[in-house]
Amino acid sequence: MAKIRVLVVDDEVEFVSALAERLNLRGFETQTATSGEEALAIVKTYPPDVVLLDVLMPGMSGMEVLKRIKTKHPQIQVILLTGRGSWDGIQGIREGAYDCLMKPIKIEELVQIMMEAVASNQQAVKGGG
Amino acid sequence: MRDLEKAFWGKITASVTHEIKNTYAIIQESSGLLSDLLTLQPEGSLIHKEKFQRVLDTINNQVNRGVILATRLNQFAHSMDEPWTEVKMADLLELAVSLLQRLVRRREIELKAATPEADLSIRSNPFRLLLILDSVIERLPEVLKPGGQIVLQSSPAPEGLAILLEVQGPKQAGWEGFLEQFFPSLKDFLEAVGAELAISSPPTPEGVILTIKTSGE
Repeated sequence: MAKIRVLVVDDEVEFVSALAERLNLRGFETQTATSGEEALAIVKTYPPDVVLLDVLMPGMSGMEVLKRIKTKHPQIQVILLTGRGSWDGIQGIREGAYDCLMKPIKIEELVQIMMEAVASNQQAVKGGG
Repeated sequence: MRDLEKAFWGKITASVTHEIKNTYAIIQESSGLLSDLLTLQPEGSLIHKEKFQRVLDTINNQVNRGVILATRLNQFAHSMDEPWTEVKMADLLELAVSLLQRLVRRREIELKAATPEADLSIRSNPFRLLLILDSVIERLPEVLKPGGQIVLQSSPAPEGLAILLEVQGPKQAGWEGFLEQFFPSLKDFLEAVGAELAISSPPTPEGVILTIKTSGE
């Protein structure tokens, strides 16, 4: 069975590298980006199954990245990561995010939500086919 | 504090607490990664493995504690965003307990919020409500002996809603007299910020219920 591809996007380098490594240890295939622009470039060339996306980044915001991903790649599941509060979650889910988690995150909870996101996508593909 | 000054203080505090949470997120993921790597070590291959794990657990617990504090401070800062807004009373009382608990705990008095019977909301000024609660709670340890409790609860009232402060436990000698002296000065202050304070039940050895009545905007 192919590994689930995850793109971790956050402007905090130490955060993305530690989180990506923890996900690697749990059997995911990860890539990292530290800006919205870099994330979109990776999505274009190597589409992931799930994007873990920080909301508040310098330059292109997480919400803008979410909108662009969902416009061109609606099948990619996006999970928002925020340190701010529930408003980001409400707005993000309206824009098509699968879920929104408050930072700091709990790794086991994150893994479970990612698995659910991928499973719901697979069900949608089966239902559509 | 004037509205412009409050908005400035609120904006800067909210921004800094957001960054503090980002810092905690990095510490948590880094200690989590160390914990993961430690788990992968074969048994007996690493001396002090259990001690490492204990230290990592301590880091994790303290990160969680810090995140709660930063979150509460962030919510307090956001209470200054809008002078008048929809206030969920359960959230407000929980925030008040979290912010003020440390101040009364020094006097060995516990502050807690009772589980609300219903979702009560009012259009009001959250910063002002917290200020009122602080003003009342700050004085109550003067009547309570160590081991007492202050329980906050909101309930519907004819004109808006009431915040009940139930004072439980052994009181200082002469506490009824103290309340009589203390209420009028506080009453003036509360009226100045748009609320009323009344004794909704006569003081008894069991306790007293204070009612802050607020009718909103």
